[in-house]
Amino acid sequence: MLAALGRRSVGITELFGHLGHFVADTLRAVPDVRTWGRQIFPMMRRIGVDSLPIALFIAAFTGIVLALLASYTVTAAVPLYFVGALVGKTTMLELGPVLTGLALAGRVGANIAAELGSMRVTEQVDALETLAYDPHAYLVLPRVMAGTLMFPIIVAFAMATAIFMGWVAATTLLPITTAEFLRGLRLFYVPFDVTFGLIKSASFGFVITMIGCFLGLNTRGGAEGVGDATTRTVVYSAEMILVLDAYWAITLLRP
Amino acid sequence: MKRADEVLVGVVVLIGIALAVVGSIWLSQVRLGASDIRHEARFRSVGLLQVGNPVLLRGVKIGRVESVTLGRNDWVMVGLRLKGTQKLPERTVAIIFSATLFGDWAVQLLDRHDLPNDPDVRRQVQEAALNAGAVWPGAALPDVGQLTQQAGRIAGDLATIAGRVQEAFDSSSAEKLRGAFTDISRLSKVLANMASQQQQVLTRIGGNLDTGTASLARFATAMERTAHRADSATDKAQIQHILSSADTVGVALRATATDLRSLVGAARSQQESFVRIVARFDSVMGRVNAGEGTLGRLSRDTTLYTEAVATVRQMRLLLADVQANPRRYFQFSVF
Repeated sequence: MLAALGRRSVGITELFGHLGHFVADTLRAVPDVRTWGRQIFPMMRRIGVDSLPIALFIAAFTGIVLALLASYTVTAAVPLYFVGALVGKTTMLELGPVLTGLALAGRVGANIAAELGSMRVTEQVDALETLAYDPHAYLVLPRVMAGTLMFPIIVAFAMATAIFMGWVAATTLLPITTAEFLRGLRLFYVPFDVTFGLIKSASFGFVITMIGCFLGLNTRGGAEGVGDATTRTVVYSAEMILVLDAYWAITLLRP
Repeated sequence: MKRADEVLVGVVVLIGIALAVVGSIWLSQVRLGASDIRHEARFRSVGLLQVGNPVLLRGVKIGRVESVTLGRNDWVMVGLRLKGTQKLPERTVAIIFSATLFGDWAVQLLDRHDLPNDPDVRRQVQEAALNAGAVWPGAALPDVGQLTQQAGRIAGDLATIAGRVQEAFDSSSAEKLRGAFTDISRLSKVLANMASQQQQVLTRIGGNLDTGTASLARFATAMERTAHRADSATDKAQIQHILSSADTVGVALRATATDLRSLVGAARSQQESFVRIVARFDSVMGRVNAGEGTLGRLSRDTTLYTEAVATVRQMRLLLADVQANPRRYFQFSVF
């Protein structure tokens, strides 16, 4: 058992070592703008714009549920305008970035891992290297940059949608007026709430795309390896999202 | 395809950035381009005041808290962003208070004359105003937590008192208390009897009062009637008649006064005559007293008195003899 534990520890350490090398190689590819520059917009569309519907869908229902949960939670002693405060704060600080990140971990991370894993197992990556293309500049950097840049944009849309749908639910399903909802929304609002959510979402985008690229390019075997890489990407991405969520809360929200 | 990607991504990115920026500005209630004014106030403590909390003037929101920072000499500096159109009090003081039970804090701007009658608040303001310059002095009202703590301490004290009462209330105390209750019951009966008697007395007094009140009412009615009569007697014709009578009386009085004056004049002359007579009588009497003249000598010489008495006695004897022997003295003949 100790031997297994040791082997596991060594394996994890080795994984982090590979990941460190992978990140360093990616950063070294940043000056190669001519290679990744041509890929960035298609990647931004695929990772960002095409992910908007699922992100907005999740955000809309999150806003509705948040408003109803808030009204259910607050008792007669708490004024109902706190529904607005709860919807706004929760959406901006936590649920907007995290739920969107988890959803995109499945969609974007799995997509990247499957795509790059397939390229790896079909030796397309080897072919690119043969043609003197740096896979990090051609495949990894556009995806990572697109993810890092587009995740905050998607999360901004998600925040706005969740708050809007929270307002709709509150004013139609609850005995609360628009003025009361806005009063609660503005009551505890500070601009850093949005900044915090966007910083988190950018880090989520970076980590999800980086994990997808790393596991995809390190796929071994055939279709099974691709499937394994995809699954591990989703799992690791989800775990990393929660770890980063805690990290940002500790570093940025702690008084 | 590539150009379409760029356009689409650009649109989404721009909208996303606009959503984040405009939404943040809207929620922060920052008025871009407005002539906002920034003021600074200092406090010893700001409770749970946060950036974004409202600033009120007479209960109306006129701005928001822009910053809360620690300053020199243990002051907390609070930046306030206010609408530039507001007329502020001459000697502005910032008071921080808990607006609701749920951490909803606010800053109220007051004139220094309108401070709450709280010695602690006044002391805080006085301290903050020293060498403050352009910085507004400020004070924080006690928040709900402090009040709750105070209430908790009071509740603790009550619990201690209750515990001590419970310790003191043993079986002997219960017996004594029972005895005391019996005494109180007896005393209550006595008091009830006394109250009953007093009530009877009061009832009698009430009856008398009723009678007196009725008499007073009758008296008042009579007075009212008299007043009516007096009132009716003072109508216009009667008053004229009274005035004319009064004129007549006046004339008569004037004539009487004239008569009286003449009488007084006559009396005065009679008085003078009387004074003269008295003076003469006085001089006569003086001479009599001095034994001068016939009367004087008579008044002082007892011989005359003695002779007169003897004469009277002789006269009585003579009269008696005449009555007894009339023929000795009188001769009666017809021819």
